Amino acid sequence: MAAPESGDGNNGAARMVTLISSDNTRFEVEAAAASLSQTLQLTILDGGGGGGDGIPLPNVDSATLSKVLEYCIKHAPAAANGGAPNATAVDRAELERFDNEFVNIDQSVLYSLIMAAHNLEIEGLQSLVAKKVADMIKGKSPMEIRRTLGFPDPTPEEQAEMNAHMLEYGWAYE
Amino acid sequence: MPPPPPWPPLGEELVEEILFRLPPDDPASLVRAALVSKQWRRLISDPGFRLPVCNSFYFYLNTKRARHDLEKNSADSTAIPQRWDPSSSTSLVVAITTPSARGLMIRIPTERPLLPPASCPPFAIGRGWRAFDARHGRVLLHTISWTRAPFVVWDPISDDHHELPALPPLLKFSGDEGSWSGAVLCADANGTCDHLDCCHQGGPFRVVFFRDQINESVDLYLLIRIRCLERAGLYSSATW
Repeated sequence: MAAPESGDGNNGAARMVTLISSDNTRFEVEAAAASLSQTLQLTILDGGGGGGDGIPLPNVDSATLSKVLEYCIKHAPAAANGGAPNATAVDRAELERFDNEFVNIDQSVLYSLIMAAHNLEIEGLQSLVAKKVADMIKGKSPMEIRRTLGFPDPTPEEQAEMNAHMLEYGWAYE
Repeated sequence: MPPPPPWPPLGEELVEEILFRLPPDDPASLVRAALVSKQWRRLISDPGFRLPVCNSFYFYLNTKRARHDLEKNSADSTAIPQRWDPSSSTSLVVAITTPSARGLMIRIPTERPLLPPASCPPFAIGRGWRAFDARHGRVLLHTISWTRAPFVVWDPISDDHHELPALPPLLKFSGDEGSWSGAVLCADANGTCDHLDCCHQGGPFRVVFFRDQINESVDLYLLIRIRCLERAGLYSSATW
């Protein structure tokens, strides 16, 4: 079946769309990059976001959105190649280096990114931030994990349960 | 540095994404994570949870009876009896085999009876099996059933199982007599195996049984299986 004109940016000037953050900042970005978001993809395919309209994103503030778009712009070319099966090792290494740098950020920013990646359904970014949090908690005790993620102190009941568990599975805490 | 500000609670889907990405060669991370909060424990003990370990699987439900046995025999964690009985389950036993030599079983208390996990391979559903050991992707199971071989080496991913020949009479498993232990390992002689996939396609394995006699000697029974060939020998040592 013939696909309708999809407006991808392979022929000269790339199509641009405008995204509007919760604090009313406008971001103009290539449609291909914004389409990494499953949430936005349909709207963009329907022709939304162009011209003066813009797509409002009431759940994402401008600081977070600019960070999200930094990721999308970097990853859009590889995504356009269908996950870049023919990407060179250099390209892949460069993306990996970018990803590592990208999540080397303050915890509050990381949290906003987790929520934004989830709301916008950007698969690669969801995976990247989840991996970052997993790296932050690996090797830590339950209490340290709670502190790392800023959980409130455990109730006496929870504390007793933790102590019993640590006795039983001493090897896991070596 | 001031402590980080508390995070608003993450939804279950997001927590699961994070837990799923704990390093596969460090199942201890998962054990510790199970104690972080009730939400995390519930997620990890949910049969639908995708364990982050490549050769991992949900094993049996630990029943009240099993807990009783455990209390009687608390020193030997590999001999925790596990029987499939969802109606009286009190906790979930997860057996995890890892690329490293150290297999393990963890027991996670659950607040409700669980249904058999969809990912549970058919062989594991049989009643009466208990796991002796889990390493390098295989599990050594034991049963006292009369109709089956007493020991079976089982690959939980492919559900392949291999019945071990009868043990020499001296080593017949007889309940609480002496102190028993067994292990199943990859039998890679060259030491080059990374143990990521060695249990598939009938890779070689070895099984070792130990029995501590009251007179301080140790019996050791070693069985090596390479393709379809088996070699077994019994060694007894008074100077272990």
